[in-house]
Amino acid sequence: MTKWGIGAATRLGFRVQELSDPPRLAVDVAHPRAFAGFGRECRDVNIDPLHHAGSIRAKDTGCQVARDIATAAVKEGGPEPGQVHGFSCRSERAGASALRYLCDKDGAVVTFLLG
Amino acid sequence: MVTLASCGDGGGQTAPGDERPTENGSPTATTTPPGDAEGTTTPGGTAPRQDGEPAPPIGAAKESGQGTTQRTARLADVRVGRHATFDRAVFEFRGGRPAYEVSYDQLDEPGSGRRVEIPGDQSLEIIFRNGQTLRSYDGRTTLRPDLPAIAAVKFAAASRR
Repeated sequence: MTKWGIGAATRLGFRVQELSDPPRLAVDVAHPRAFAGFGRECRDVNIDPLHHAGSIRAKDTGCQVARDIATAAVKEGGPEPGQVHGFSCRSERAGASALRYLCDKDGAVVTFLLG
Repeated sequence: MVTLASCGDGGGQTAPGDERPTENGSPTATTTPPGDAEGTTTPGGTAPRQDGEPAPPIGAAKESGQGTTQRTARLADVRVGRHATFDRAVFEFRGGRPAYEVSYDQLDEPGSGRRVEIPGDQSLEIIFRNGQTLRSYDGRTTLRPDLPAIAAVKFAAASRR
C-alpha cells in the first residue's frame, strides 16, 4: 500500500478519473467558489524574487487595476480600505501559507492569492 | 512559484523492496509534456487551460476503483496542473493502474498512525493498493504548486499491507 496526500485550502469538491495510455489516475479538486468562473483571469504579478501574487481575477474592472492592487498588497503587506484605486480589501487564510484577498468597490471585485 | 515534478519512467534507482521514495527536491524537475487530453498545464503564473471540462461536483464522498493489473504497478510520475475551474493532480503508472481509494481524511502513516503534515487546511488521502507491492516513485515527494485549490501533493507512507 502506498499513501499520498493532497492538501486543499478547504474541503472542496473533488472527482477521480481513470485515464489510459499510459495508465493514470487524475484527481480533480474544484477551485474555491471565489475563483470558479469569477471575473477575468489576469496575469499574476512577481514583485521581487520573494513575493508573488497569483490567481488574480478582476470583475467589472481592468486587469491593470487588479495588478495595482495585488502589487500594493505585496509591497505594503496588505492594502487598507481605500488605499488602492478606492477598493476596500479584506483577506482570509487560503491554506497554510497563503492569503486570499477580496477587494471591491461599487460592484467591481478583484481577488488574488498572496503566498 | 511553478512546481511540477517529472521523473521520466522512474529510472529504476530504487532498490527492490525499498518502497520509500527518495526526497531529493531537485530543482531540475520541470514539466512533463501532457500526452493527451489529460490537460495538465503549467500552474502558477500562466493562464488556466480553457478546456470546457466541468468543475468537479461539489461533494466529498469517498471514491475508489479496481486496479487494471495484478502485477506490480510502478508509480512513474506525479504532477499537477491548473484548469479553468479545478486543479488536477495526476499519478502516472507503468505496468497498469493499481486499485485506489480517495477520500478526505487525516493523513497518517499506516501502522503507526503517526500524522503526516501537509500544507492546507484539509487533506485528501489517496491510497494505492492491489495486493502487491507498489514500487516507489523515484522523484520528488512533495509538490507545492501555486494553485487555487491544491496547496500541496505529498507522499505520506508505504507499507506491505
